[in-house]
Amino acid sequence: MVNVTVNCKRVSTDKKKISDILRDYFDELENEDISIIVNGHAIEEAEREIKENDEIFFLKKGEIPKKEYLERMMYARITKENYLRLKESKVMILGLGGLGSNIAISLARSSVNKLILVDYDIVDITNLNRQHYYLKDVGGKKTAALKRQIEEINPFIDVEILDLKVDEENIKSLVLRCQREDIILCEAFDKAHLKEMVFDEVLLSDRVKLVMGSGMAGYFSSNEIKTRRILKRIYISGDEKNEINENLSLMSPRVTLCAMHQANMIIRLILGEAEV
Amino acid sequence: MTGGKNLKLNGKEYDVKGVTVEELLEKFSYMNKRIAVEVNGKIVKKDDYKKVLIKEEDTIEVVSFVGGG
Repeated sequence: MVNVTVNCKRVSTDKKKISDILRDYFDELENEDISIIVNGHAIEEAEREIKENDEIFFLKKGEIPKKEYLERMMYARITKENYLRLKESKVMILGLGGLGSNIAISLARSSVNKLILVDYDIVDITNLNRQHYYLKDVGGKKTAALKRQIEEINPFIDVEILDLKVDEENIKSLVLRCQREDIILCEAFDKAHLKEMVFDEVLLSDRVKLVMGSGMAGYFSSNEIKTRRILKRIYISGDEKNEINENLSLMSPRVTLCAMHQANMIIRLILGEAEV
Repeated sequence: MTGGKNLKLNGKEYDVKGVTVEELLEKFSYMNKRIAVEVNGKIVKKDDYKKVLIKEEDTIEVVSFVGGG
């Protein structure tokens, strides 16, 4: 007899192979309609032998799995400790363009518990060369489009949307909220003066952590994009040089690179790493 | 011949002496740009750029905010 869990239930079995117990769960489905996940990884070979303490999931393809199942699979992949840290984390993203939209998707995939998405803008067709939207989103709010996408990736992420044009006044209450609720702040605006404004406001706070993006236009070397740490709790990703102008536009690879620098720094902060 | 110790600007050493923050920013073409300046781990307020004198061995970080995102 071996002891395993199947879809989160403890099971003792004398069966030898995964395929032997699969039939106890889905007798009428074809094998190709079932995903088999063992210890956090999808397997194709149902003939694999069952081992003591295997954590097995049988899921019907296309069906939304229970929250508990997704959580257990994440434990297996990133450890329970790290998963629980992510489940307590909150991130506010200012601006949902090429940086912010890509950051939001990446953090949602990483199981960041709560995302506060801030933008007033509408998706237009010129955004699609680099921002995480689809043709069907054109004409609608960026906030609503992203919330919809995240629901399709992980319906258990708490997404709050703020349809707001951030200015000198309301930035104060946003930063204050980050301080009060222990939210990591992510600056993803396109305008340089807004970046500076967020930086200045965060300086006035006691302990808000800020991750910014600056300089990612064009198709210059990927390796010029870096993340550096300023004043212990402010991080800035980008080349700090190549700005958008008439002759230089943003392209998907480099803006996404910068976005992923920011997203990874945010994950590092959540998981207790303060260095870049 | 250069004497004394160098200042460090964004990780590189330069032999520049007796300048204010503003003069340093001019020398390295940072004026009229959206920036923040950190000297030895402390942010220098914009109003103080003219007043604060850079000393030998100071470590200066200039953060540049440029458009695009």
